[in-house]
Amino acid sequence: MHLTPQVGSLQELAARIEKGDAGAEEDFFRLFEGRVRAFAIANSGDRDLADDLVQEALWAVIRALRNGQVRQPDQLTSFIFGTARNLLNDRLRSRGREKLDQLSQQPDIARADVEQRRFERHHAACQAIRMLEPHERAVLLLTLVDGLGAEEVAARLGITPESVRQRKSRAIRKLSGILAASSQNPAPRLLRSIDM
Amino acid sequence: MECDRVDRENTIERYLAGALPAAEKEEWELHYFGCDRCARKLETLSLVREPLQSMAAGIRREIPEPSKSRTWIWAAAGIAAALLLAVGLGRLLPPKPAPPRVANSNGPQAPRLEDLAQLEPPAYDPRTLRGVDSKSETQFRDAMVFYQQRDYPKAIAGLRAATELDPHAAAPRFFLGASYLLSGNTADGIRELRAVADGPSPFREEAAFDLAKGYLRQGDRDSALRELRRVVALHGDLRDQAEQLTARISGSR
Repeated sequence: MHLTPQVGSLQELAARIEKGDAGAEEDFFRLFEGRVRAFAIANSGDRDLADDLVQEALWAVIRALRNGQVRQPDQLTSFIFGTARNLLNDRLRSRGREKLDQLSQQPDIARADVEQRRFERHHAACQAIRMLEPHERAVLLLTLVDGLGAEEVAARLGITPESVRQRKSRAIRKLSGILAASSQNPAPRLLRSIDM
Repeated sequence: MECDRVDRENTIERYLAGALPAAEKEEWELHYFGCDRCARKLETLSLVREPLQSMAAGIRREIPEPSKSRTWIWAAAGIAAALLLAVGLGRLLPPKPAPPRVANSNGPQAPRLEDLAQLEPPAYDPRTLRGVDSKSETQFRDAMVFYQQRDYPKAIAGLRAATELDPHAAAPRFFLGASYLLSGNTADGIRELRAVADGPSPFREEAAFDLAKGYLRQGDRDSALRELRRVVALHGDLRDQAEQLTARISGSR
């Protein structure tokens, strides 16, 4: 397992949040935003819900850190996972029974910001895919969308499984780099007031 | 859960497809919440999965169809060879009882060293290298046009000229080494890649990885493993791949 947050150790980050450091909250949000979103999409397939959950879960954790309620900071990642999972389960259980969720009560400008960001992410992903070599796109499509293993992709493309793994690895690194460069957006990500 | 296992078992792809068993799914989720590297891969693949689906038709058109005539010729040649071998062996050898079923293994075979030695052309992104207005840079960019066209002899000529103009520039030397390997000139490829891998450039990790491939081509497992250990020690993007390749070399034929 590789834990290498660029903002220092997670414990340091938690301590800074407890002291009320707003910059630490932004760092924390940036660090876990993607994994909470991916978790929600993988478990619900609902991107609206995923965007809501990112805000709700990470704010819940930030509130807990601010109030010194996280008793074992060395197990912070498990705490974040548990919080996200519980909130997602709540959301999925109450789906259809509740017409209004908390985010829908936010001003329209906040919802528009979320949708704008989603559009930007989708657009950036399409652009990044276009910047790959055709053979890299092919490997990604066959593995990620068609669900083929390296041996099957190799047979389909007439190359070795080792080449498939290399192409995939290079494609992911390329995509990560391009997407990281395109997400250098200074606009605020935290949409909620901590006191709500 | 180990990062290596995630790559080996296509955990991310199966997770995004909703195909992980419950226990493995929870183990994986706990893992990536605490693992930056796996989380980054997951976030990237999660982000591109839907756009890939929407672009699928165009991408499929880019995939070349396997040549049926060549496939048929090779299949026919294979059948003929097998028949000849069977007839020949049948005449030479006394009849033997059928081998036990376990000998007819359908499981994954140990990889061959020459397969592990295969090198994909290192990615080149012109955007990140533009902007330095020097003769060497211009020469490098011109040579990389041939590299991108996979015209390695012309790329080598241009990259050699670029390294002569600026012997300390890592990028031309790295791609020169890679071009040598890709054109089958292993010895020169190893020489150039070693110079880059031993230096402080941003290409150090990738040069060491490709250097390992060069040694594998020469059948030199020990040197390949030594370079892969260097890659792992750098804790960079290629760490997982280096660990996987190390494991495969150990189990290779």
